[in-house]
Amino acid sequence: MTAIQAARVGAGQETPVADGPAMAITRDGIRRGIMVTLPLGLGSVVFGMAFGVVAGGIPALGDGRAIGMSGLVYSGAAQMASVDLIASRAGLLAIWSTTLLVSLRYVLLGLTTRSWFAGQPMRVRLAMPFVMSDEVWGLSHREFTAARQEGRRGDLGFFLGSGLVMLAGWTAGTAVGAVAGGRMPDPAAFGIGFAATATFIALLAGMTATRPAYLSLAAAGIAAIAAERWLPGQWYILVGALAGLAASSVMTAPRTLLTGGGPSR
Amino acid sequence: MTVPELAIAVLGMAVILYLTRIGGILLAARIPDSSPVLGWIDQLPAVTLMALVAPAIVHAGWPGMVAAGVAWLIAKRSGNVLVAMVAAVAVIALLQRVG
Repeated sequence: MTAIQAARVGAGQETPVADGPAMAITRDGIRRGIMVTLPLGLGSVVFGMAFGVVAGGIPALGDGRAIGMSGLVYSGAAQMASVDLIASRAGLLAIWSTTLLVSLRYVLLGLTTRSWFAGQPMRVRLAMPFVMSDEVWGLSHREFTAARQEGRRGDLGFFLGSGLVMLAGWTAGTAVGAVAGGRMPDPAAFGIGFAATATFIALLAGMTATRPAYLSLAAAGIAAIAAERWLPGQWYILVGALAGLAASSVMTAPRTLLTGGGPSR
Repeated sequence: MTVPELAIAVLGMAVILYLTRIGGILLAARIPDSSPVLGWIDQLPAVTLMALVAPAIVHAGWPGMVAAGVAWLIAKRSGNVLVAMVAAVAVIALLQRVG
């Protein structure tokens, strides 16, 4: 279903509420999302700088156009992949199919947000996901799971604040990189390229507890590594996730596994 | 690539990104409470995170594996994601300089 079709379906009826009232969206929630995400936001500034440098070397992306691209597309993986294609004058189909492949993981991540957007007005559902990223999703998942475990209803403002930090950091970093060009030090030298990965590992550590859970994680990791090595593009995320699900459903009934992260409902 | 061509390419990318960002979210809201699919969706966060990080760790070589172990242990012990992240970044920066 496209967003436009969904908007039409949703416009004429009450939005379905999965469980109880919708999450609040408060100023405090936004502020908390901003504060919690700031360290990773610095990482996105650095990644944005790296993209700005690369894009600055391509005439078509000069004169600040790379900055506009970062603000509109807001995806490091998709933009980095497309830069080569743009430089080599590849066709639109190649650029767009690569973008779709790199971005499919967002559909997967979005599926886990059932309770976050339940009962929200359609304008919130249509506008707020624009700021979704791996990091925003990961931190929000932890925030809302913790809230639920404490018997509180989460504050969706957290997601918005977190996303605004990442979007602003990415776009500002692109601007700096585009202006500074190749005169910048390589961010990898400071280990900053590992910041997002380390955060995801820490989030993962807070989720897993049981032996079958570890086994399905091992299956996901091994499959992802193999797929990343032998398949083109970014199929590895989907392949790894599906392998993890397959492994866990072989071992036991799905609902009893990996519940440390809390149910998505 | 000319500027109008680039504009079309970038706008198309922006639309694709938006549709994938919103697609899963809108789909999730329409899954009924009784659906057996929810059992799998509950597990998606962990296995998806694992699929994201595993190749990145391998690419970072042995410093990456040590840093990943540090992040995991600190997060397990303290539950503090920020401390775990900062420690792992410090460890990998240090090890890459040594190695």
